[in-house]
Amino acid sequence: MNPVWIIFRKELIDLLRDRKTLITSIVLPILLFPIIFFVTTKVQESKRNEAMTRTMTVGVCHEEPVDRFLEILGEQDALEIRDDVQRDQVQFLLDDGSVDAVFLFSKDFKEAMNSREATGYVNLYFKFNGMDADQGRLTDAFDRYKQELVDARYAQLDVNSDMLKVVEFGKRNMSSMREVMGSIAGGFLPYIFLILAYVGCLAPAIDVGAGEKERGTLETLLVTPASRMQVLMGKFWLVAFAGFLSGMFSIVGCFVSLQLFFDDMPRKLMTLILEILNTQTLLLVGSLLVPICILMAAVMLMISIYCKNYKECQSYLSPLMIAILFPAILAMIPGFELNAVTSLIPVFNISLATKAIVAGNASPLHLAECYLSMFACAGVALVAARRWFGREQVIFRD
Amino acid sequence: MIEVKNVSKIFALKGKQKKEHSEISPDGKLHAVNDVSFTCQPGRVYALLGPNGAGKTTLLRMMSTLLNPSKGSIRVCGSDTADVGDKVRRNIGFLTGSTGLYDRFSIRETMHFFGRLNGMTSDQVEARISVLSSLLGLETIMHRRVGKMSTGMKQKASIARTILHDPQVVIFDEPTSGLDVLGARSIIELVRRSRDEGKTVIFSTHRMDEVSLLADDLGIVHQGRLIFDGSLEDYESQNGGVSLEEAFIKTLEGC
Repeated sequence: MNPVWIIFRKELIDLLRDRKTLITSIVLPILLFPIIFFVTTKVQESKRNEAMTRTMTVGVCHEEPVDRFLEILGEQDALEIRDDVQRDQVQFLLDDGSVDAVFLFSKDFKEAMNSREATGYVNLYFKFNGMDADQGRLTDAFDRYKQELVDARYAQLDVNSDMLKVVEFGKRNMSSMREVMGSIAGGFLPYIFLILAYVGCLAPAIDVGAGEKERGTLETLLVTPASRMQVLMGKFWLVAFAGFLSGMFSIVGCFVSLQLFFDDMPRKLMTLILEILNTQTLLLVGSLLVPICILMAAVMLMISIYCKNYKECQSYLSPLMIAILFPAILAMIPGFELNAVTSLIPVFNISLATKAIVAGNASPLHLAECYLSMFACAGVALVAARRWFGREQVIFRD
Repeated sequence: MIEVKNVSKIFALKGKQKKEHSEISPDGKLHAVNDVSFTCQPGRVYALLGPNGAGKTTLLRMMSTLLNPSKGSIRVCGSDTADVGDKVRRNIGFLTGSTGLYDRFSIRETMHFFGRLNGMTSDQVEARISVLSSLLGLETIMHRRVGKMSTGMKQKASIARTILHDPQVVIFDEPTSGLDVLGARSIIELVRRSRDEGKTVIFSTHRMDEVSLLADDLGIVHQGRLIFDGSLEDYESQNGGVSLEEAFIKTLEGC
């Protein structure tokens, strides 16, 4: 039996028996997306319901009577109206929470409405709470009132409202829904699976390098007939495999959670998502994980072998996450696309390629360039790791 | 057989390391082992005796191919450690200073892992397990994970792992460290048995009782230099009947 396989197998068993690593490499990636989707959808839903049903206190500040507006406002559900708000009280009442919002009518509002020419001003004062639904209920009511006033003025002027529509400007996005989804979800997806691939590689990388040194088991392994290259490769494949497994589980977790928690999504959108996340897309995105995991494994192992112990290794490997995430975050910025140049930039190209694959417009040539660039980097890192592993000063740093 | 010829090991130290070592040469390098030569014969036990930091472990690491000599050469069973490391490693069993076992593996699993790396079949490993477990008193705990065992048991398991593939040369770095009297005795028995089987055995120690009990030949290392190399009998007769401990201290003081 090949020593590389013997060492890989042993490291894999060791990894599967380590509860901490098992949780970070397998359980977390599987459960992360379902938990995120479950929690966010449930919380959002409950907040939306709460905003729609909770009783809001709305102040109305006006000089002249605005009976029709108060009538429309009164037709809204769960709305308590305070019609006695004074101009100088607005800030105070909002600050102490006596009112959730105040409609402030300009002093000359009634006059402006009667003049046929002037504009009446109404401001809605509120405190930001991030709940669009709150404001939505109020602006809906005001829009109804406004429309009645506009219609009344047209009638006074004896003008058909369509006559005033001299030009109508319209915008139409010709991107397919898939392309739109690709640029949104496609940018987000690599961000998540890169983190999880990194986390998946991290624990085994520390354990098989610095961990073995600290426990004194590395020497034992190095005096077996297996060559240093074979020992290194056995460990390297384990780290890369753990990262790949972790990343794949995160993709599968994402797919499963979409099916579990998006049942109440519009059927059309759901069909589109399932169409995007077909087997081919999943395989292509999964295949991008191969070079990135190989690169991460080689770099992490090189650092881990250099370190004397867990603690030192963790302090060196933690900042590596920034180096991996920065290009992924950059790729989320609109305007970056996979082209002949960007497909050569490591990690950045993975993020852009994922976006392109999800959007369905990935060029095979650029994808090939992307794989080539990543494998070349991984190869260089692996050669460096091999040279590193052969140095006495690294193995016996103390 | 192990033949050590004019071996030196020089470490280039960096700034912080220079401050930690008092014995560095003017060129800023640490001569951990300095022009050492000796031979370990098959069927004999060679004890490498010396105080902490004398260079014993560095010497053993060079014999086991973990380190390369800066000068000189080491031949194990006729093979040069620097040229054909893998061939050398096939013929040696090296017990490192730490137990070197995997906490999440049972002793049996550990044996199978190292057995396979040494080119043994599963049946061969099982046959050796039955011999070694009864020899070292490990029969009842072969299935137990190493992480849940006492230091003494771990050390025994580690020794069983070292000689699992029945190597011609056995190198022990402080084999009885951490063992109680009974544990140490079984190790001593094992070393004797290896010698009786015609194997070359070398062990490092700073314990005189171990030397008296086990050694046929003795090498005293001090500050990287071999200050005595010969049979134990010769050493004792040279020191005129004083205890080994006194003789050892006298030897070091004479340097």
